[in-house]
Amino acid sequence: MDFLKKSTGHAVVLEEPPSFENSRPGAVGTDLPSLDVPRIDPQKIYKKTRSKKARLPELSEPEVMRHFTRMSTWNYAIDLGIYPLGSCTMKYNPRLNEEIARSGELSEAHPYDPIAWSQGHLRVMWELTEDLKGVTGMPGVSLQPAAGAHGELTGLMLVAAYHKAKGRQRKTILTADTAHGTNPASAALAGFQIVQIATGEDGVIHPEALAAVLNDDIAALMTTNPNTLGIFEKNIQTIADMLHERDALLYIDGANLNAVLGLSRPGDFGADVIQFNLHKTFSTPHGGGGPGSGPIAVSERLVPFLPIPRLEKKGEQIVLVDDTPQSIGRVKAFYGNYGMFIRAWCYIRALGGEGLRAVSENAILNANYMRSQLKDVLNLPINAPTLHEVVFNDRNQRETNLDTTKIAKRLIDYGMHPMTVHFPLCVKSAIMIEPTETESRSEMDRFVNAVKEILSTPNVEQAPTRVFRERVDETKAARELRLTYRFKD
Amino acid sequence: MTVQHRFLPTTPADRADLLKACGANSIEDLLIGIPANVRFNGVLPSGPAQSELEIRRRIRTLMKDGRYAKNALSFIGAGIYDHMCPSAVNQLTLRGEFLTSYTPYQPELSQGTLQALFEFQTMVAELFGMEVSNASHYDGSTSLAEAALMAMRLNKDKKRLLVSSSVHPEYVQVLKTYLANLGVEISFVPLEEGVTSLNSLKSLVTDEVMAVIIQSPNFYGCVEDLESLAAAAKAKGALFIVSTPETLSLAVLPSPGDCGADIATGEGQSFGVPQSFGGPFVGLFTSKMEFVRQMPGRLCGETVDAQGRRSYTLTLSTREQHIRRDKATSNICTNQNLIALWATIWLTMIGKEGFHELAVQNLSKTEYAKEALVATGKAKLRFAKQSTFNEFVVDLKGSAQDFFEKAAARGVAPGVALSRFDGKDTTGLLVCVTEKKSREDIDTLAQLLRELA
Amino acid sequence: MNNYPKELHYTKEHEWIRVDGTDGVVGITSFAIEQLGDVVHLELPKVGSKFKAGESFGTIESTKTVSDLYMPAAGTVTEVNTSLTQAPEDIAQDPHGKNWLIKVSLEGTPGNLMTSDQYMKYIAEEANH
Repeated sequence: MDFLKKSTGHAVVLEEPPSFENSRPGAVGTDLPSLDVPRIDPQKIYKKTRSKKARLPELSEPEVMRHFTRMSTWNYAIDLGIYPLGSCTMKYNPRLNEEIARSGELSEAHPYDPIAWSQGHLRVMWELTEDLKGVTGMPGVSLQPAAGAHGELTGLMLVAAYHKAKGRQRKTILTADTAHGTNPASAALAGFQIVQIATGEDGVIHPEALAAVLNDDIAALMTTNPNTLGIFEKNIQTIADMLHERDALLYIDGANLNAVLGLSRPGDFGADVIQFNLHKTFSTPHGGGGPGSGPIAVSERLVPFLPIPRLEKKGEQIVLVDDTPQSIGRVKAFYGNYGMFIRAWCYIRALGGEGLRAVSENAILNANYMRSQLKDVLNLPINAPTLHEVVFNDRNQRETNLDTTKIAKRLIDYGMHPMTVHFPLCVKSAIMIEPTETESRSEMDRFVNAVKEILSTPNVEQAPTRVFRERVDETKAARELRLTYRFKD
Repeated sequence: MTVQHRFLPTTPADRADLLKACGANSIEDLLIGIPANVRFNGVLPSGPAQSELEIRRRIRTLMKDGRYAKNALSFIGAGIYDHMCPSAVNQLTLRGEFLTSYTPYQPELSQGTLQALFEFQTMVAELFGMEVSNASHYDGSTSLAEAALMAMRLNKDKKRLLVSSSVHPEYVQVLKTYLANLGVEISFVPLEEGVTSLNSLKSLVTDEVMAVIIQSPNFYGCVEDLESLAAAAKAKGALFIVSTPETLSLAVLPSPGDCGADIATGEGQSFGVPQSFGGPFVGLFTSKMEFVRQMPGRLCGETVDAQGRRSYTLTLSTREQHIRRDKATSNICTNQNLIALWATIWLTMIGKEGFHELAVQNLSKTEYAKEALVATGKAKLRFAKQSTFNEFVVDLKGSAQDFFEKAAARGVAPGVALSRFDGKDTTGLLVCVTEKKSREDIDTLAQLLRELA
Repeated sequence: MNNYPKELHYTKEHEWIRVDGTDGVVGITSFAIEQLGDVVHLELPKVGSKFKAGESFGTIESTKTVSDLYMPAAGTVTEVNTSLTQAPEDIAQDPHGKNWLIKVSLEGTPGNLMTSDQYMKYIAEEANH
């Protein structure tokens, strides 16, 4: 247990109850401007007013600072160390991007401002659109969707609109067994049913498997490339051709785009639609679960159906237009998560075209290094070339007291976030590691050494224990359902 | 040759070691999984790498004609509201532990985010007067669309949806897009004097209607009589859905829950979230406990850890896409967590009394502005009979768009010309007055009306 | 340890049915409950609902997953075990006896079901996967 002894275990982590328990009448957290117009009593204006003031907490400013700062120390974060969640692309978030996006110049603008005031913002959107076209080699882009799953939904709505415009209704979307859960959920929301294709023993979709289910009811095939096993779909060109022969479309889930920047472009093999996750590939912060941003790129076939409004150049000016009759409409009020566009735009400017390729090359190198260091201790169920992430399972540990979940929970006691576990579903008890390009060799070694030490000491029970809170009782949470604070009054 | 960059810790010497460990001679050896016929051999067209200094300079140049550089004055609202925000909110949300963490799927490593979400759910449910709130949607428009989808699940046999004509036009567009492939027929309830016509609702609502959607304060700033509308909807077994884009109004108006809402949604941008040219914001979604298993989105619940200490975890995740896949209640995954945190910190700092006082200031300034604008003789209140919160419509003598452009040239955005949404509405100007506008600002707008309208 | 009563018939989706003339009692097997983990919620149909054989009549939810419940045979629901819906965690005790899910009035004779011996063989294979 030498390695464990070396970690500090001396963090200043304090208890802090929900804000409602520290609240005291009369405490004030902020000062409002004095009212420079006559005061109006709401009861004079409204027939009926709110019956009772909302029970928001009452705390002073320093108490609020401490409340949230103490809570922040209970979180793990990419700023603290490696966060090797497979298919989540937890990379470093450059701080310049944060500073610029939050500056008054960018954050105070309103989307209905006069168009002349908005030219700078529209220019940022225009350039980001061009960047995304470049990355994918696809001719149309909409920045509107708010997150990856929202982009998926939008993309599938375009697929539905495409077939509808051809006077037919196709009801089925094919997905692979490596797909993210959002894929079938988005397809259902867009009104489709799902048929799943099993991947071959080499972890990819085979043309024969596609041929067996391909018919005139198939609207599109939806697959992640490289897939969630970190493997490039090597038959993708054949698959695209087979689909197009039936006028079915190819949807690429761009969740793993971090593997192929400057190395392969979906547009070149005939992809019809792809969603970006700016919060993965283009380093906008995950924020503990958002905000994300999920722009889409599309082939010529789908351009007429893109959401409104669209960016257009009118002489020197960039304008927003909505006169495209075949558009699916709007998927979100206003223009999308603009604050995320700025961050992604800054990230792309900082790297440039060559730098983006270096991102993917380093991401691939790091994943392959993880594979090389762990392949002798963990089982590698599919032995195909690894790109940005590698998937193991706990097969070698069957005879011991360890399994995937225990390995993950014990990693926490070593001061690091576990990898993705039990996903993708096609690998039983999967252990899915994506280091990303922003991890150094020594940080990767920290992870590798921890995994090795866990595997060599299988009989430790009860992890994690070196944390602010030990294993939480999820069953109690689901049975008793306390979803709001229970006030005493 | 891989370029070196400040975001990439691997040095050329490290690279040589790592390649060796992988049994490769070059990066190219690791790319054999990508077939040659789909390899890209060019350079991406994003230009050369730029330093921090160059990026800052470029941004300053791009933004030189923006409202900030101009120190412009704005009375634009229409779904996005310019409210004050204490500095501490921005500072706290910059903490890396909040900013750079993932979705709290590992509760032992995310108690900070989880407790914040629990506080968020509590405050949002409290404000709406509802039993349960989820932990965020993309924005107010998508949370309203998801409310309609939830109504479809709860009222499976019904196929009609009634929507008031006073709902934000962009929210309506989103609703139509979401429902386009799901076999739902949307009808609109007409307005009477700027609010939803109760008589029309009564005649339109039938046993076939799954839900009725009302926005209050509505797009024209008018406060709807939610209680009567709810009663009419429920008389025919329809669910009553409320949308509240200006959630500060909840401080003084009866809560949707008190008025009988089954699902109440809204936009949390009003809680000090920067306007940011339209996003990111945070969609709010509340409902009744009896419907909790049909709710979309994440839920955080209180529980205990192995030592019996109060703890939090995401719960009922079996409704969600990563478990339930095509049968999930929504496809939502990444949502707006950091903005939910922003709203939580803002509400905590503003506090119980401050929240109420802020709303009173909005109301007072808006009433002052109505009088000041009408006194110019150049503008008339369109819906003088109705009560409003911080937004109202005036009719100008000529084109509102003309006035908008002339005022903009003088550094003032006087509101939104309603012709933006309805070409036939040439004279209407939707004006929003928050606590951030001083009396002098309002007088400036009145003076511009005198001079330019 | 698992005991699968001889008088019950079983489905591949792990429901069981006890047939008595045209009346049937439906539940789920102890194997299924072990696979699910801690059960937190049951969604059962209203009395009077009609289902075909193989149709989903409700859901069973644990902290990890939700599974559909499938009708072993066609019929109309005559009774729902409401004491179980109020305390779904009880299903772990006596799932083949007092913790049944629904009672049905059967249409025709149930077909394509497994005997307890066949079912035990079937789950032994499942467990090896």
